Amino acid sequence: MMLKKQQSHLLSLIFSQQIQPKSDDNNVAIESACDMRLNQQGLQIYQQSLLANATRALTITFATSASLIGEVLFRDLVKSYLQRQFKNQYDWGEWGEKFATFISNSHVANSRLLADIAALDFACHQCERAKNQVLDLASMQLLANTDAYQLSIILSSGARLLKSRFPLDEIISEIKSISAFNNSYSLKNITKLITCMSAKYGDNVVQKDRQSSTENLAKEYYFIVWRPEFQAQYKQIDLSEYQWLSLWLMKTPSKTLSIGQALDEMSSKNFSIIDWLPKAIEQQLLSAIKLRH
Amino acid sequence: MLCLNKQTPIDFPLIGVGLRHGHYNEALNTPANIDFIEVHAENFFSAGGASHSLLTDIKQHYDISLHATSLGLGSNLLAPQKQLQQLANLASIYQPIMISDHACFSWADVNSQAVHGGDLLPIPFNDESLQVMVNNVLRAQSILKRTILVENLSAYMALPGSIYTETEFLVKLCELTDCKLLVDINNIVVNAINHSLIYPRGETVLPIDYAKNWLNNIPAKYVGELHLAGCTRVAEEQLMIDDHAQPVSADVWTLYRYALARFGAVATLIEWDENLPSWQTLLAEADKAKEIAKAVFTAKVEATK
Repeated sequence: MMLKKQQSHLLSLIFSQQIQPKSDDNNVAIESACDMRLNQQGLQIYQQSLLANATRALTITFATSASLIGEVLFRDLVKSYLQRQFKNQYDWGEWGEKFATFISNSHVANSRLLADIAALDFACHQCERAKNQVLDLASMQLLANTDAYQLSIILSSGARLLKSRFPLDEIISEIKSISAFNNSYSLKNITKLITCMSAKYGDNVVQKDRQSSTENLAKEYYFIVWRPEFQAQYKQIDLSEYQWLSLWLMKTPSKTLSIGQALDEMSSKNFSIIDWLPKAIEQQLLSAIKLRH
Repeated sequence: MLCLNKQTPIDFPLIGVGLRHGHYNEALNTPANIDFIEVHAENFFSAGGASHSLLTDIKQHYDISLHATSLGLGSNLLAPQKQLQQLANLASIYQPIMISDHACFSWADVNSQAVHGGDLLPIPFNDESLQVMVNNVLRAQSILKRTILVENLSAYMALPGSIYTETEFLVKLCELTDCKLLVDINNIVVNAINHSLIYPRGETVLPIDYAKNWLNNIPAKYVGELHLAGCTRVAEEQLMIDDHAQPVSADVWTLYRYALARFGAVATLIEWDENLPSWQTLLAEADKAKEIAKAVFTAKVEATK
């Protein structure tokens, strides 16, 4: 029973990331509620180690966001996140599911845009960790001679959808190209650029929303994240493709949809499977066609 | 990847190095006279992706040792079954020559929530913690269907309630579970250096004497692997951190000789995690371990003639 208390207490002290008040004893011992005498310097080592590990892990998972936010501010964000979001995953690679939402609720400048970029980062990261899917080009032959109601599709490993108020692909590409062109481009410049982008795409929409423009309320950008081999890719797609892919990505295991059924369920009439299929095969968004049982 | 394929002579220890991200390319393309590669198991916990392709390539040329850092074998709160199963799946795919984790805790209940500390946190050495660790080790061994190695910790605080020394605790753990020990020599040295700061009224100890005494208290039959590493020097009154950021220290090499003479040809690993050197520098450390092993065991053979 003592051990349970000790371990819970030590973990909460470490996650608090707070330096404990020094006791009178110069030997830096802390008396705590459950009679633990903890070495203050030792506690700080564990706190710093947790923060360093968390920052390292989230810098890998949220690589683009981290580069745009900058090392110091990103570390501060991770620290606040640690204090609010205990690590409930044993694998650092899986931790950070709520980091994008956390950024959106933070006081960081341009938080809405940065949060959406973080969500895209997380989607890419998860996609890259997904179970490998074998590309079965031979199975595509089924499309030529089998009824669409007998066929189902398998998308590439870890494919997932995302929507945002911002054209994330264009924004990231623009920032990367400008900073790549100008090696001395500082974080300050990047922040200015993000502020411009945020105002251009985000604030304008909000402003128009306030004027109750239904057209602008619906202004959203749609993205598919997928993995042809090991590295995740993303691209902007239109609403009809988003709806089409949603049918495949949101299906439950008990419900194997056929291509025919999926087409019947499509509310958008703008989607053309004839146009979509060759592109999806070429980009390896489609891994296989299978016969539906 | 090329392997020099120099067979380690019988009765010589297997010598390996820890593989870290910065060395992936070189490890796959540079000849290496090493017997095994140790990887951190959690780096390969993803369901798929590039990491598995890498490990498959490594496995074609070297034996693999899986070193876990997240089980928290001393945790009062049970690790999730899924976590152990993931390690078991990894073991089943890559058939490691060794699986290890640490004598520490990681899991605890905080505000009615299972929280993982993301670190190797110290435990007191008493009957309660021993029983917890025995149960956790037996559970892990049952799921993994093999014995595991448990590594001694470098600890930066001492939790109250210990009634055993660290070595007494670890020996009892081996007796009760059949697990073996991964003796990290640098961790012993770090604990010795930090001794007077961790135990406020404790005396300063000489690292070599402290470590030799520590090693003398462990029966050779319980030692399955040795870890060698170096860490960054710190100012007086500062705790030394086991950062694995430097070459193996002179003290650790001295103690390695001593440990080999005492424990026999035990598999040995060079750990270097931070401030990564070139791949060749890391391999040179492994060569040095081989030279020491050769000297120790040649002398032993000569002595028996």
